[in-house]
Amino acid sequence: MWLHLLLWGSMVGFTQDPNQEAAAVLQARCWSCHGAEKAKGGLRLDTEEGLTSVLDREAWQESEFAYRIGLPSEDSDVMPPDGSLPAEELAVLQNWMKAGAETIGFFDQVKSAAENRRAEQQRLAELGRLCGGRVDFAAGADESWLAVDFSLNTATPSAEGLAALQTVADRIVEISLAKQQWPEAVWQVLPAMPKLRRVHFQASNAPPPWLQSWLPQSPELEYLNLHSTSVGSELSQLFPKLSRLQRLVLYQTKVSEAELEAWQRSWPDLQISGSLALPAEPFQHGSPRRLLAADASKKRIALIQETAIGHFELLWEHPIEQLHDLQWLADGRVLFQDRWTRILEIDPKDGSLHWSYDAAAQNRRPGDGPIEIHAFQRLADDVTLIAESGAARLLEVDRQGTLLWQIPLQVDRPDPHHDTRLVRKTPTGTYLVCHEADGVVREYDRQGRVLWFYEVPLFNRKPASGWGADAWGNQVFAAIRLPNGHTLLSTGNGHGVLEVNPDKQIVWQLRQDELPEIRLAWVTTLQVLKNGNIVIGNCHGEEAQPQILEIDRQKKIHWRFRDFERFGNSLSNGFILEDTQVLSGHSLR
Amino acid sequence: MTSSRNPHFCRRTRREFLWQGGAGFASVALASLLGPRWLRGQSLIADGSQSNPLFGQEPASHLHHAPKAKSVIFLFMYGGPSQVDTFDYKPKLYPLDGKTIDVPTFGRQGKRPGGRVVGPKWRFRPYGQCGKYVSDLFPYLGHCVDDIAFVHSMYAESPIHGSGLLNMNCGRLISGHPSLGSWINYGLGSVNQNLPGYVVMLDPSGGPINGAKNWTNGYMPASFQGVPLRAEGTPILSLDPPPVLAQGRQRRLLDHLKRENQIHQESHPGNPELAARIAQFELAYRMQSAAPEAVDVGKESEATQQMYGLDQPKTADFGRKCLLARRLVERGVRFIQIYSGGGHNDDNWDAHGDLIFNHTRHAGRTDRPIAALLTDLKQRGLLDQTLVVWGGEFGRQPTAEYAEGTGRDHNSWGFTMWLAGGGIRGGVSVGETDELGSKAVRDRFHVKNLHATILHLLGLDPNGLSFFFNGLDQKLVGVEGARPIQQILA
Repeated sequence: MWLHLLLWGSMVGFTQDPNQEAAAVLQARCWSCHGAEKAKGGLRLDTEEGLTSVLDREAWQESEFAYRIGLPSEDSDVMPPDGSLPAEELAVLQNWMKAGAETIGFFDQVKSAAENRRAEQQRLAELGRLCGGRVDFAAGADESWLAVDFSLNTATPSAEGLAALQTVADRIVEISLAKQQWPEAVWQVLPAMPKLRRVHFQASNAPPPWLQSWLPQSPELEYLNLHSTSVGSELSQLFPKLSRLQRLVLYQTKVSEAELEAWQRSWPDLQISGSLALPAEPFQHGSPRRLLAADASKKRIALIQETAIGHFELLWEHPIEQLHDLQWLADGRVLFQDRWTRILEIDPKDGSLHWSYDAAAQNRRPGDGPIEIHAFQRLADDVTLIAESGAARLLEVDRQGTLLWQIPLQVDRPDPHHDTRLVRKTPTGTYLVCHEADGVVREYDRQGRVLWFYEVPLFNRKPASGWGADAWGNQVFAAIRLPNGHTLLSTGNGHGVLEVNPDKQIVWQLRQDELPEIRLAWVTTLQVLKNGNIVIGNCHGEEAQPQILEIDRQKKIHWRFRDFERFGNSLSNGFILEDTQVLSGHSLR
Repeated sequence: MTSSRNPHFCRRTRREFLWQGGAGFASVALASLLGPRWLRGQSLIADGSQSNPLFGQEPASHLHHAPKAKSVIFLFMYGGPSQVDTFDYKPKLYPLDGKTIDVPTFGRQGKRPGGRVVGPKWRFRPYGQCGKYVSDLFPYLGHCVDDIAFVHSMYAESPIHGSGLLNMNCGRLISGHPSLGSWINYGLGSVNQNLPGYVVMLDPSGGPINGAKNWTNGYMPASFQGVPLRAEGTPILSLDPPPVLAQGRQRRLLDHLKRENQIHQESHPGNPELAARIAQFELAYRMQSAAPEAVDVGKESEATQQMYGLDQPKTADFGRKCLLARRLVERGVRFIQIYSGGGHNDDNWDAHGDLIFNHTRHAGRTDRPIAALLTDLKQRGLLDQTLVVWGGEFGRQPTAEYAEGTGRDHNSWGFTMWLAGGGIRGGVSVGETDELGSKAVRDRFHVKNLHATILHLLGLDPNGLSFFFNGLDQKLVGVEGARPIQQILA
């Protein structure tokens, strides 16, 4: 092994003896396959007999040996077979052959190299035995590489072994004393290892004060694993001394998360890792496509997840009688109603009930007639906005159900079932209310004044009764204030979607029969995704039609949902949960 | 003529005399039969540093170069996951769903000129710094892409499970050759004297086709064979001694057997089977106490168990195996293979009928555990020296196998495998299949290249690591050799 290094030295010009140079090339390039350990093709080049069987000193240029090593590197017959012989080494061999291919003392190296190696191996075996551990070494250009692993020791290294370690300490590039509780003495006598690059002390009792003095004696250190040790903040003093350190593992140590973060900021080139966890929401941007939807005909609200395109698995469901609104809350809970007068807040993960509100019993006034809720919205600070049809008012209640605020609604055709459909608080603090019976969207301020309204046009068609695609009316269901100030609304039995500007001009419209193979029926919920696509609820459309659609502004269909087993012909409310960044907040639903 | 009264010379048989008297000559011959490795083993025995040449507990091993990885965890997705539904994003395949096109395929149904396209059934979305697109089958694993190198242009020699598994595990289509784990333990030696160096964990539905041939030692000594480890109950079957052998009786019996075997060995020196037998008895004895400790996941924190999905029925089994794999890596086991899928058809990734049902099932069981494994290895600093390999024996076709349904037939002309950890450059994807994902077309890599990469990362020379058998220096990568996949090396 030492000889090997010496020979590499010789090749760069310490000795001018062409025989020795040639021997070095042969040893480096040929003898591993044509030598004592292996004699490919039955040929050895490390004996006089073998060499001369392919190299004729009298006519070396005609020889197989000279021919094969001289071939272009891509030739299939070239030796070495990967064509790796550098030109200068080829020249060394050619000069040597030209000079007569002398082999006096030539093969001594073979013997001494093998002997050296065997001696080295035995020395390391003995070292491993004394230390009760494992010593790896690598051959090749990086010959001096030594790795010492005591992590699987069943015995403590003897004093003799540790002393022996001292003799090779300057060659050790990696050491592991992991997973063991060593006697203090082992740590204290561990020699300095100037070439050490990788250290594994995880789950050991490596004493922190000792580390402080020992580690700086390894300036080449690149990797340091200290997880599950008692090291703490004192470690940071080491960083300036270990300029090559790239990776530091501090999982389950006394170093706090805050300290880790601070260190990471101060030493950005150093990859420090503490405790890692899987993301709470596994999908990159929230979740795969999930759908929260309810259908009164099937008496069910359900949260389903798209396991494959068009295929869903049930995550949660709950029985309902009637429902016209639902909301997915930021913490994963669902706010929904199970009858016209009751709102529930349930966590789908475990089905636990976290809040409920009963309009039939709470905040009732003397003289109130029948009440129905067709819209509600959880606002900031745990306040819930509720729209009461029949009482024709908006109210906000806190967690205890205490009335915090209310305004009366303006309705031309009062009706406990038809005063409102969806109601949403806009980002500017106003309230956008869909008055179903009136066919009007009104925007109220906090004091209850109507700031803006829009009468949904009938487009010169006579109203026709019914629920399905042949009915006609302007029973507006949902209205969303878009970031550009426009209002997007679904026209219910008007079978379409309108975008109107503040001047009440229609700037975009989706009509009943504009989508291929689709005839829209009662258009209900609207949801605008961040990419601008619109998700549309298509209720009462009968079995052949999709219940929910995702389209872009060019009216290309991106997604269609149709499930008449779990849901039915009265899927009024649907809400897609996917990329939470795609949805720009609650105002867009 | 030998006297019938005294057939022995100096109380030795003729055979013994020849062995002992002509040791120099004989051992040279034997050495050339068994290869240099055997010689090294002998020399180490001579210095008394170990008891057995063949189990490879050498205090010193001779590596070709400095290794990047010390252990390998091979996550074998038995049955063949579909590349276009997992990691090989083919946006142009979606709109072709249901259309009949000309694309040659070769599966269990033989060669076909074309067929009905089954569009990818899952959405893909970008993850990580590298923005790698991963399908919704792997939402947790998606977050690990910056540590993963994907090879999209793998190809294998057989589109049939039996030979495909042999190809992936042993490098050949035919039986009798040692498996990857055997080669690695042969090349490196086991570091743990109390546990096998090569462990296999099977799916609860059963083992894969070919059974034990997938973890065979082939023509190598039996000690290089993979040991099936069970994640639940008794970790290794038939390991615990019967009560009658309690209180030291077993030890006395083993000592006696060892003496007898050693006497036998003197007249049969260098018999690898015999040496392996002695070693295996001893290993089994030590494993009786070491194996239960290694598989005791109760020692892991609740948070860790939860991370691997042990609290969920869907992921508990594979999660436990992944957690065990980490524990085994910490205990020096060189090669661990975990099978996702066993038995037949939908018990594994072999989605001939209903692709959605099949892949949802198997990805659902493995996604979180594998992501947890990578994360846990990383936080312990072990990912730097542990190579994790994911893949099946082949992939699947872009077209349907039958007139109805979403099932895809086998496809060995192109498929995806990924590697992560020790020595792997994370966040890269190399090679390409065509636009339909049917065939590897750019930077194609044979199974041999994968094997060469694994050996290389462990510090072995894939084209130098050989075992002399049947008149040939046998190699895992074949006599022609193979190069590691350079593009994915760190």
